[in-house]
Amino acid sequence: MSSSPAPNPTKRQKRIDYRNAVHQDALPQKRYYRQRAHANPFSDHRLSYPLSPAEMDWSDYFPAYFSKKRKLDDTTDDSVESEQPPADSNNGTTLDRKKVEVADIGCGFGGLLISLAPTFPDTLILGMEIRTQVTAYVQDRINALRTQSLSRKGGDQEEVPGGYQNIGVIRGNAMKFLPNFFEKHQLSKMFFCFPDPHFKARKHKARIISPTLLSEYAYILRPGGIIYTITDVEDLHLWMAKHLDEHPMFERLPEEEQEEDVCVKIMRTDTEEGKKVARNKGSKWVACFRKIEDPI
Amino acid sequence: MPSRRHPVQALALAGPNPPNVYLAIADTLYCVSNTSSKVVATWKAPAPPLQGKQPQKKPVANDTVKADGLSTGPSAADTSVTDSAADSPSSLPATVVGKRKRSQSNASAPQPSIPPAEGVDAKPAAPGSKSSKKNKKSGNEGGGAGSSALKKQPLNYIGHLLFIPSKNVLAVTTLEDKTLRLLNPDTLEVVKEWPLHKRPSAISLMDDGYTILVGDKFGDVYSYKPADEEAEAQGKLLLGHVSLLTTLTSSSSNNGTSERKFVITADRDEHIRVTNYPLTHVIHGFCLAHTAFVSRLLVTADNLLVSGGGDDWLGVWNWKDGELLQQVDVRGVVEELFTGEEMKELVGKMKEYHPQRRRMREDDAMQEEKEDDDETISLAVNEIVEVNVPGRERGKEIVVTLEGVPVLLRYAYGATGKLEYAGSVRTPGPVISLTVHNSTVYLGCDSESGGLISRVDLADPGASLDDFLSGAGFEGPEVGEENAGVVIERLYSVEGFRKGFGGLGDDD
Repeated sequence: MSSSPAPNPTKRQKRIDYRNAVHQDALPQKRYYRQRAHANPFSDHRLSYPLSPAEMDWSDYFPAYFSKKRKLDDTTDDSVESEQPPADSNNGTTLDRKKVEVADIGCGFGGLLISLAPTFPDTLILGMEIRTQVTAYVQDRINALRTQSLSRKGGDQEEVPGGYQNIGVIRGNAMKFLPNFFEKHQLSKMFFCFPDPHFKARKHKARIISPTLLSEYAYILRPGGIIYTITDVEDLHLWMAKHLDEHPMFERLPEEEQEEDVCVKIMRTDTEEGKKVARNKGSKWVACFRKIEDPI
Repeated sequence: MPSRRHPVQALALAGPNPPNVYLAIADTLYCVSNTSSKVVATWKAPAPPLQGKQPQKKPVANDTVKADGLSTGPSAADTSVTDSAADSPSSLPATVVGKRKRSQSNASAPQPSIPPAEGVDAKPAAPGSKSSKKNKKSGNEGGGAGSSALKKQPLNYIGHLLFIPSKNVLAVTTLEDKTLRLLNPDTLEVVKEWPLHKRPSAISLMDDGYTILVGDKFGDVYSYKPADEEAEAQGKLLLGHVSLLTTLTSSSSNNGTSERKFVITADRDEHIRVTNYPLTHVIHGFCLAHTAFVSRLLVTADNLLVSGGGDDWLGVWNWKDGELLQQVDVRGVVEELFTGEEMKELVGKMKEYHPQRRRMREDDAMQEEKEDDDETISLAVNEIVEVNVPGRERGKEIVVTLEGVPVLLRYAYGATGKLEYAGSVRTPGPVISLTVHNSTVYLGCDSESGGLISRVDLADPGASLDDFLSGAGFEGPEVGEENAGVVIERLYSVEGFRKGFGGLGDDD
């Protein structure tokens, strides 16, 4: 019933102690954030999500790119556009000009995010993860990387493009609440890396790729936007490819184009699961699909 | 009180003017002539198939317990299949074990069953003997024998009624056997039936006049076409939410050159979604502002969308642009209508409808000294309809009912085009079902007094209720005290959509 009971009190205490300690710019250690690999996507959890994309305050996740939203008593005609966006002294860009364009659905421990960050330093990339502990790990990891990156500034070490300011992580249920976060056609890329296979037939509705959910992804993706999938479970790969193939809003990326895509390379080598599969010498199955123009 | 009247849980009108009234009480559908107020036809839903989760031990002396839980039904034509079907686990016919198995179209056919062997039911069989089946419940079986012995096959409740004028058929969903049937409105004979994938939670007619849309508890919407030339054995999957689908409707828009059709759906997670039709893989947009479940949608004659649910207000939308035009106050109106002791009594009664919710409250109160908000009424819209009322602005009124609250709330358009509260009609009890014919609202209330079906003409300045069935001598079946809980669970389901009370979907 409780969200994540640690199996024994000492372990739990260790976690608490670890979290309370100040780590400066040290990267977090995974062993203090382990959580069961499955979450029920149909249950309510205790999620927080905005009423609508317009209500979302992104400044907690991308402080270098967004100003804090004003909290007004009357939210019905609340809009930030009346305000002059303040200039950000840190990187010389103006705030509130960018939108999240890439989503890593079920980002796990965040390997993909961290590799994508310097690859697309000017693109805002959001990881979504349903497990609280894992989300906390990724958040701590991003914070540490940001701090490290700042301290490198002006130093002799090479600067990381974007300084990890362009990635964020949020705890959420993407199967239920994507339209609360993203507007129509907001995203250019969506990643589904090593999703829960949900082997049993009666659990297939819980799979992250399903005919009905694909319509929602198609709504959020702009025409030409790409869905990337990778899994080490062949059955799931076939399932995902089949449903994407059959969905009228998606067309498969030609093999050539797929193999040239830098995201595919990163997805193969830099996700945590991808590394694990490689260690175990397993196979990895990739399928990428492009969203076509809206027919109406 | 030993027994009580079972309220009408679904209502529909069909046929000549004035139309016949179709009312569903538990698993039975009655057709009542509007002129004579006599029951002219009945149909009883077939007993549902046994579920895999049924107790597998032969209930002791179950034969004496009537499976349908109602003491007197006018039509007892169908016998229940439970009485002797399940004796020992090993003798359960394979066809009734699987969770997804459903009865054949002629469900009253007796299940193949082996006569109970003496002594089989004397004590629980050793769990190990049920080798072929997974039996996670073996623990319960031994210990909870007393309670499981009383467990009865649930009634095959009728869920929704929908008349389809263009085809002159009445669409009926049943909740236990999860079936959509088309009935001849005169004879109530089944003309056609489709097995549904999951328990239906919403039904609507596409504005082409004949495509039936059914939404289910898993969030999917399927379409069914009654036309013979396109008869399909299976429904077609149109769209899906990852949430319980609470209600759906359809609309169209005309931009001058072409007409586009849309399906509008709502779920337990506050969403209202607008989807293109027939290209349902293209989502048009969302109407997002609700902070609690959405349980009712209405597209008005002016093509506005009115939404209601667990919030204190109704939403009025320009649904094409996802723009919330107005939040219409409901709470203020209800708190003005019910005050003092009356409100207290109402709130107390409503808590009885949701025992699980009550338990959670008590837990909460014990854990953290939460402020007891017992005095505050919890609002859950269970019906929104549009009524033709000639005297009103635009000739229309919107009538809203709330779960557990004995009143019809009337809203009319003001001079500025906004919906405004425009009076109320007290009802003998909480409104369970409701349907409209021109300016007349027919409603079924949960009440021992007043008519089984009441009727009110909103065009009449007095707008007082009369008993539609008065003098017909038709009271419907009664509910025994032991089944009152089951019936309440069926009739008061909307508040259960609310989150955070240990109801649906709460597992972390």
